[in-house]
This record gives sequence, structure tokens and C-alpha cells, in this order.
Amino acid sequence: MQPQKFYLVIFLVISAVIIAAFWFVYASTKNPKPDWQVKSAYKLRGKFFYALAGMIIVITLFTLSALPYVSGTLLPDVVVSVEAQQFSFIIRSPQEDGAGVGATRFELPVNKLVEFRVTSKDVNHGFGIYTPQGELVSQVQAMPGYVNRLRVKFDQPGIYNILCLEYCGVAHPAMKAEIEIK
Amino acid sequence: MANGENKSMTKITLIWVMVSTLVFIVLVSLGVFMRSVQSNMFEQARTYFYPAMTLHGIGMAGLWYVASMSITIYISTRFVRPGKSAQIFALVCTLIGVVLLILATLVGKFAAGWYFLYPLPFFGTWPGWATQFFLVGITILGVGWLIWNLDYLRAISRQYKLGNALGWHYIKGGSGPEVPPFITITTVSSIVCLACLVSGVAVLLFFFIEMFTGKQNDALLMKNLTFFFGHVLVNLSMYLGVAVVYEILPEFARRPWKNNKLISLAWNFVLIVVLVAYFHHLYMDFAQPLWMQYAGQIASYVSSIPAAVMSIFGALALTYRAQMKWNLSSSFLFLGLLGWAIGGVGAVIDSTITVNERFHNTLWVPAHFHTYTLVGLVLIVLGYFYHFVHDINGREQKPALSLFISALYLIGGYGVVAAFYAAGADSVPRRFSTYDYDFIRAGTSYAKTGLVFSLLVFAAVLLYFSELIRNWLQAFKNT
Repeated sequence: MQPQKFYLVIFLVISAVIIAAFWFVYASTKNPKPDWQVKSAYKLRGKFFYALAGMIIVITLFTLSALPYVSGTLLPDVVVSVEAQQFSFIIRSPQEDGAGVGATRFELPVNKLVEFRVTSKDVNHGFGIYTPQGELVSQVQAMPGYVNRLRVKFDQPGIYNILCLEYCGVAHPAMKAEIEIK
Repeated sequence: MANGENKSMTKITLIWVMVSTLVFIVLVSLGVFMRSVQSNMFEQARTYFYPAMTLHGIGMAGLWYVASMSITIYISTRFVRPGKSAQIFALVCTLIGVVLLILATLVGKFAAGWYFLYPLPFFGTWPGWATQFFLVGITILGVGWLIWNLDYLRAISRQYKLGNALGWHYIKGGSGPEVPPFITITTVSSIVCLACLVSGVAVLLFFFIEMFTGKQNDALLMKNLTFFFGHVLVNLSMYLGVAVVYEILPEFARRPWKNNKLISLAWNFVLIVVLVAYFHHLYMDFAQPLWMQYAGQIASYVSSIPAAVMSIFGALALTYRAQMKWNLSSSFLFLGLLGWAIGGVGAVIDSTITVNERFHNTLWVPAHFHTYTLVGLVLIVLGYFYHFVHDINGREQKPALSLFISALYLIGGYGVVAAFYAAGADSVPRRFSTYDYDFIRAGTSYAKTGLVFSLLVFAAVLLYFSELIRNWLQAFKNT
């Protein structure tokens, strides 16, 4: 299952529990007991607190151990420079730093650790990577004055699409590039 | 409060009710328009998509803040005496600000988005005057709201010691003086609002300095300031709505909801975490220091605890087997909390860094914030508005019509957000006027679905307005 679909399922399950709780309380008002003491729910509230806090600690430990940020001493196999500008991407290897060099379609090897060094020449942009099937697999922001390093290993060959994922002006939806993984 | 003073506060609140509802109708119609354009309709009007998006966003963020604040001020007159001049000043500044924003967006086609992320306002296709109108409009709103909050804090400090208003005496184990939760929550919100406005002022100042001197700003600093401002503004609007629930829901449930150690502790905790949670907007800015990213996720997660355990659980316990008076207002307050809870779940999921890598700036983002606004805060505010005008008139609400309006609004509202969630889970990006590429073409179908449901919302809002206006006119005459 795609991670996005998995997150959607988690969301739907929790939402269903919340709706059930609200419905249960709403239905209870059809059989009112005005002298029922709110304090008698405090024990349940305590359990709810510990359950929620415990869940948060576990999920935090689990999810903060695998972040998309570059860390450690592992070197990438390939380094690629990306310059975003209204309304295109210029992608090139760092050696090609002359003006006008670069492309909006770039070839990269399969199963190699690629480091994208992403910046912007004007406003904030996004650099979102879509698989050939249209699944967003990773992204980073392109910010003027900063270089953000994003590492990705492409395990399937094909044409990956790059979209700008930060609103950058009226032609924002047209801002696209392609990466061919061979 | 003296009778004359009370009458003028009622009148000002009635004006806020009418202005807010009318602006809401206009802004909902912009939302419908945006979904139409994304459905490939109105191609000739496509150039208005981004100006409309900007006005819809800034309008809704501002509208629900002023609407929540105006009813907060009115309810607060049960306990404190806010100044009349500050209310009029805030109203006038808001109206001037709104006119400038409308001129900037719909006439000047300013389209930098509601949080006008630096340096986009300087790189647009719109004329310079439109940027100036927009920034000056925001400045005027900021000045008006700053005075509004300072006056409210002044009114509170006249009646309570600040520490007591924040419930510190409860936290220390004391039991008196009695301070309603409403006062604690709104005091927290006003303090948070001052921090938010300071950040907004800093952003505007840096914009104006660059505009007049050409000296470039640091994009990461500007982004932090902007998101601090935007995130806090939206959150504190929700807190004001929740404060209204703490004060009004007990009237429908016929049970008291008193302040205590845990409620005070929860809201003081909120005061701290809301200032840090905004970091989650910058997860995909890898240049941001790593500790901020950790802090963003942890603060976002833990901020759900007081909301879920104290406010939502508390409201459910209060309502459980109560002799509840169900009408449009009480239903909207109750359902508004439901929307807040569900939207909160969507937000917390997205505040996980690894999840955000997949969801950031997809339609999952409008999905969760529309859940806690459109079917959350908006319901609470509209519910209170309706209660307020009937209360002034001494009239009962019509149950059959209320049920129809509620059902129409809920079906429409949840349909709108469902289309957003499904699209977000399908990797469809947000803020795209069209979905022209094959791999995101599904965005058009989701937009069409969203459009149908948004029309139901629009119809429900018009029906609500037609009912509100009759009672409003009578209330205005009576005041």
C-alpha cells in the first residue's frame, strides 16, 4: 500500500472512532439523567490521557528516527544541482556551472543515491518528485539564498516528473521538469 | 455593565454579525469559483483564480478571527468591561483593511497567496500599487486588532490579576477567586495574539524596508516570521471559538463547566506549545536547524493532548445524558467541536515529518484546515450568531428549518473536505488552477466532486442568512 493511502486509512479509522463517540453522547441525551455527575467521567479521562500520551511517545520515537534530512558520513553516488526560477527548473551536474547550461529533462542512474542541491533564483519554489505512476515520493523547498540537500534512491527506471510544490506565481501549475531514470 | 453601555456593545456585535455573514457569503462564492476553474469551467475567468485564492485565504483567516473575537468581546461583558471605542476602532480598521484587500486582489489582481510569502509580492505580474494596497491593508488590520487585544487585556486586568485570569491560582492548588474557563482561554488567546501581531508587524516592516531601500531580506527568516503569524492567527481564532463553547454549551446542557487546576494547566500549556508548533510549516526547508524540526513535531503532537483530553472530552462529558436543548445553535456548537477534532487528527498526521514529505502542499493541507474551519470553527460561530440574535429578540429557533439547514451544510461541508482528503492521498498538489498533466489529472475529477458539495454549502449558507437576517433586523430595531 502506498504510504499516502496508509495515512488516509489511519485518518479514517480515528475519525470513525471520534464520530462514534460524538454519536454515543448525542444519543445519550435522548435518555437524560440531569443529576449525572461529570466528575464520574474523570477516571475515564485519566485513562484517555495516558493512552494518548503513550501513543504519542511511541509514534514520536518511531517516526523521528527516519527523517528525510541529510545526516551522517555517507556520500552520495551522484550530485545534481537544481535551480528553480519562475516558471522552470534548471537541472545540471555541479561541473556544468556556465550560464545557459542545464536542462528541464535530466538522466540519472537507477539504484544510486542521488543528492539534489536545490535552490531558487527568485521566489520560494518546491521540488516535488512524482513516480511514473503519479505518486509523490519526496520533496524539498527551493529557497533563494539557501541550498537544500535532498537525497533519493530511485529503485525503478522510468520518467519521473518534477512539479513545483510551493505557490510561486500565476503560472505555478506549468512549472515542471522530468528526470529519466535508466 | 450599565444598560446604555450594554446596548451599544450589543449593537456593535450585531454589526459584526451582519458584516461577518455577508463577507462569508462572498468568500464561499470565491471558493466555489476556484473549484469551478479547477474543474475546467470558466476558462475565460481563469486569470482570476489566484487573485480569488488570495482573497479567499486572507479573507477567511481574517474573517474567522474577527468573528470569534467579536463574540468573545460580547460574551466577556458578563465578566469584564471592554472599551466601546476600541470596538469601534477595530471595526473601522477591519472595514478599511478589507476594502484595500478587495481592491488589491480583485482590481489589481494581486495574487501572492494569503500569507504573501516573501519575496513573491515583489515578483508578481500585478502592478506595484496592488502590492502596496495589500500590505497597507494588512497593516491597518494589524493596528486595529492590536488595539482590540490590548483593550481586552486592559479590561481583564481591571477585573482580575493577570495570574488569576490565567488560572495560576488553580494550578497552585487554590480554589478562589472564581475565574471562568472563558476568561482563562481568552486571556491566553489575547497574549498569543499579541505575539502573533508582533511577528506580523516585523514581516510588514521588512517588506516596507525592502520596498523603499532595496535591501534584500533573508528568505528563511521571513518564512519563519510569516508562518508564525499565520499559524498562530488561525489557531487562536479556534481557541476563541472553543472559549465560546466553554461558556455557552453549559447553558444548553443545563450543567456548569467550571475552571479547575487541569483546565488552567491545559490552557497555559497551549500558550507555550502554540508558539513552537508553527515549525511544522517548514519541515521541507532542510536549511532550517534540525532542532526546530524536532521541536515542531513534538509540539504539534503534544498540543493535541489538552485539546482532546480537556476540551473535547470535557464537552462530551458535559453533554452526556444532559437534558440537552437541541436546536441549530447547540447542534452547531457540538458539531463544530467534532469538526475541530477530526481536522485536528488530519493536522497531527501531517505534522509528522516523514508524512509531511508526502503531504506537504498537496490537497491534504486544505483538507485538514477546511475540516477545522468550515465544519469546525465556522459552525461554532454561526451557531452562536443564531443564538445571539434569537436571544436579543426573545424568539425560539424553528426546529424543522434548522434541521434542514444543518443537514445541507454538513453534507456539503464534509463532501468538500472529503474531496480534498482523497485528492491529497492521491498526491494531487494544492494551489493549482488546472491539472493539465496526465499524472495529476485526477485533480480535475476531485475538483468537480468538491464543486458539487461546495454548492450545497453555498445554498445552506444562503438559507442560514435568510433566516438570520429576519431575526437580525428585529434585533437591531430592539436594541
